[in-house]
Amino acid sequence: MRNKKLLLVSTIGLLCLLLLFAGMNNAVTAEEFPEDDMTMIIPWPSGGFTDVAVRPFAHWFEDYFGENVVIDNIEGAGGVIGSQAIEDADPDGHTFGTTSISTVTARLTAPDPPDMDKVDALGQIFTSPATLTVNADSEWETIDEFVEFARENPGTVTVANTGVGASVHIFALAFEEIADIDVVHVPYDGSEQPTVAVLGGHVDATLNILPDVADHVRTGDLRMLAIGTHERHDDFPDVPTFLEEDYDFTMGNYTGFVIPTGVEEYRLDILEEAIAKAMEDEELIKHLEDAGYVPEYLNAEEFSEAIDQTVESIDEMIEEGLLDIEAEE
Amino acid sequence: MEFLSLELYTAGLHFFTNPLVWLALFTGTFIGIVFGALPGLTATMTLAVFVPFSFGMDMVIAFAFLLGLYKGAVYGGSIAAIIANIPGTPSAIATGLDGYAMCRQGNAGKAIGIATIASAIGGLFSVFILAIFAPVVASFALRFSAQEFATIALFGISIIAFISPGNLVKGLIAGVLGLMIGVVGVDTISAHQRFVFGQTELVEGIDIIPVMIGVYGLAEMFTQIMEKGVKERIVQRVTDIVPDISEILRLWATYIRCSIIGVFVGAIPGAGGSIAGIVAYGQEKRFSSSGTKMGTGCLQGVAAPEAANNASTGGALIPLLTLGIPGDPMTAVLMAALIIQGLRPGPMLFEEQMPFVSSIFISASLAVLFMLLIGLVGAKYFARLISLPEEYLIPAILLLCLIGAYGTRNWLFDVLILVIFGVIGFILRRCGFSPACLCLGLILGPIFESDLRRAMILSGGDWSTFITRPISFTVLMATFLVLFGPFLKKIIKKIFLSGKQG
Repeated sequence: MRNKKLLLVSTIGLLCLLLLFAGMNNAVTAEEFPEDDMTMIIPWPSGGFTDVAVRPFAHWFEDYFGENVVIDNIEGAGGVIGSQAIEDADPDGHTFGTTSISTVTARLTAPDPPDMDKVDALGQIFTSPATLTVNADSEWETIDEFVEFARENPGTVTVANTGVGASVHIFALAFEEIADIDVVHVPYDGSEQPTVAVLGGHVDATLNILPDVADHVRTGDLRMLAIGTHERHDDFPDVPTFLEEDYDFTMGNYTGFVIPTGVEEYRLDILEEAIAKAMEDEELIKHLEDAGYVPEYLNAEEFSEAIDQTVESIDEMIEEGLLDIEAEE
Repeated sequence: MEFLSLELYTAGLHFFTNPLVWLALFTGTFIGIVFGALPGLTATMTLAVFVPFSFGMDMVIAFAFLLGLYKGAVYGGSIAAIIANIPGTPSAIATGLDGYAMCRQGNAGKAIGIATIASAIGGLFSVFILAIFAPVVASFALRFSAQEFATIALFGISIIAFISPGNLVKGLIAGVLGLMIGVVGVDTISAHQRFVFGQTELVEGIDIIPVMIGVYGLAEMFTQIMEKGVKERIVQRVTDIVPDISEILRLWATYIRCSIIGVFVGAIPGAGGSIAGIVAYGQEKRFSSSGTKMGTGCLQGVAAPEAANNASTGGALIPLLTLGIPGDPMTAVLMAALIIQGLRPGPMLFEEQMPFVSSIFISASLAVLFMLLIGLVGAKYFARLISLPEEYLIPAILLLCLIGAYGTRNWLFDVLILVIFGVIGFILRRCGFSPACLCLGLILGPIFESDLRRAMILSGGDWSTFITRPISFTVLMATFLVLFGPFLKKIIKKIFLSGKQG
C-alpha cells in the first residue's frame, strides 16, 4: 500500500515537474516573439491618408519579423471603431494599430469614445505640423501682420477648420489663445475643404496641416506664414516656425503605434525596437517625406508622454470652455 | 478658363494602358446590359447593388466599371421592352410602344439592332456634349463658396416636386423623410450628436449606400415576390440583329433630334432617362413627317426613345460632375460612389482631379462602344434572360444586396440598415411614395444644411449674402421659377384671358 502511495505521489510530483518544465520551456520559446501572423489595425479606410502613409511599415515589419503582417482597415465614426478594436484586441502582442490626434479628439463628438488608458504607446513615426496659411493674394506677408490685423479687427478674420472639435479646430483655438486674437471659426467637412476655402478666397486663413496645403503653397496659390514645427521644414526653408516668431505654438497631428494594455513587457520591447529600426530605414523615411509628412520618431515613453500632453491640453480647453459647442455658434 | 485646354481630354489617357480598366469597362457594360434586360431590375438598382463592389478598386477603375454599368443598364432596358413589352428599366417605357409592335410582326431582331445603334449614337453624342460643357461650368469652380453650394442643394431638393410620379404630396413626404434621415449623426458645424442614441455606428450618419440598396434593390425584390405568378412571359427567337446600312442611315435626323433632346432633358436635374425617352418619342411623333406611322411598329419609334435615353446619361453627368447635384436616382448612386472614394463631386473635382475627370470622359465613350459591340453580338442571348425563372433570380439578387451593403464598410450594422430600408422602401412603393424623392432628400439635405449654416457663419448671420452673390442669386431665381413657374403661368394666363374677355 505504502509503495503504491509513494508511487502515486512521485508520479504526481514528476508530472508537476514535467508541467513546470513545460511551462519553463514555454517561457523560453516565447522569447521568440512574434510567433504568429500579426495584425496592424488602421482605423481609417484603405487608400486614406493614414493608410497610405503606414502601409509600407507593415511590409517592413513582415521582412523584419519574418511573419505575415495583415493590415486590417477598420474604418468608421472618425476612427473610433478601429481605435476601439485596438483596445479590445487580444493583448498577446500580435495585434497593434495606429493612433493619431483624432483618437483623442473623438471624445468631443463620439458617444462612446476610445480611452487612451486602454492602450500602451509603442512609438511615434511621423507628425504633420499645423501651419498658418493664407491666400497668396492676401495682404498678409508675415504672421505678425496677420496677428496685428486680427487684433485690430476682432471677430472679423475667418479661419477654416476640419469640423468643430476636429484637430485643425483645436490648432486654431490654441493659436487664438497664444496670439491673443479673436477669430471666426468656420467648420468644413473633410481635410481638403478648408484649403479649398482659402484658395477660393472665401475664408481668410486656415491652420490646416502641412500635407493638405503643401501643394498649393508650392504652386504659389497659397502663402504659408508659419509652421508648427521646432525647426524649419527642409522643403520650405523660407517659412519661419511659430517659435521663431515668438508664438509658443508647436502643434500638429501625429501618427504612431499603440497596443492594447496588458502585453508582456519583453514583447513591448521587441515591438518598440522594431519601430525604432524601421525609422532608420531610408526608404521608409523618404516615403513619408514624399507624402508631405515629417518623419519624427519618439520611443514608447516619449510618445506616451506626448499623447498624455495632448489629452491634457484638450482637457484644459474643455475646462476653459473653448470647446463649448454652444458658444461656438 | 484654363480647363478649356486639350489637357482635360488627354490627362487621363495613361490610365487606359492598364488592362484592368478595360476589363472593368467590359465587365461593367456586360453586367449592366444583363441587369437592364432583366425585367424589374432597373438601372438604378443595378448601380446601387454594384456600387459597393467598386469601393476596393482604384477610382479610375471603379468609375470605368460604374459608367459601363450605367450605360449598359440604360440600354439593356430596351431588350426587355422589345421582346416582352416589359421595360427593363423605366427609361425604356417608350421603346416598348413600337419595339413590341415590331416584335409581334416578327421583327424583334431588327428592333433590337436599331435600338442598339440609336443608343450608341445618343450615348456618344452625350459624352461629346458633356466633355465640352462640363469644363465650362466647372471653370467657375473657385467662385463657389458655401452660399452657392447651399442654394444649389436647395435647387436640387426642389426637384423632388418633379420626380414624384403622380402625387406631389406623397413625393414631398418621401423627400422630407429623406431629409430627416439625413440629420442623423454628429453635425460638423456644432459637433452635436443628433439621433445617435449612443450608437458609435451612427456618428457619421446613416450611410447612403445601404439605404439605396434597400429602397431600390431589396424593396423591388419584395415587390416581385408579392407579384409572383401574375406575369406571363412569351419569348420569341431573335434573329437578324444587324439592320441594313440604308435603314440605319435613313433615320439620321431622328438620331440627331433625339440625342439633343436626351442631353438637355438629362442635364435638367430631376428629369432623367425615362422622361427623355418619352419626350423624344412624343416629339418625333408630332413633328416628323413619318410620325403618323409610329406606334404601329416602325424603326423610328424605337430609335427615338433609345437615342434620347442614352443621350440623357451623359447629360445627367453634367450637373453631377460640375455642381454635385444628382439629377436622377442613377446619378445619385454615382454621387454616393464618388463621395465614398473620398471625392466631392462639384466644381473642385475638375481643379483637383483633372486626370480622373478626363478618365471619366474616356471611359464613358468606351462604355458606349462596348455597349454597341456587346449589344450587336449578344442581343439574342440577352433576349433569353426574360425567361429566367424568378426562383433563381430573386434569391441571387437578394444575396447581392446583402453582400453589397455589408461590403461598404464591413459593418453588420449596415446590413441592418439595408433590411430596415428594404422594408421601408417596400411600404413606400406599396403606398405610392417615391423612393427617388427619399434618396434625393437624404443626399442633398445634409449638404444644404451644413452649407447654409456655414454661409451664415461666413456672412456673420446676414441672409442677404444669398442675394448679393451673383451665382447664388441666379440659382435662387432658378429655384423660384422651377417651384412657382406653373402657378405664375396659370396666373398670367388667367389675367391675360380675363383681360381679353373683358
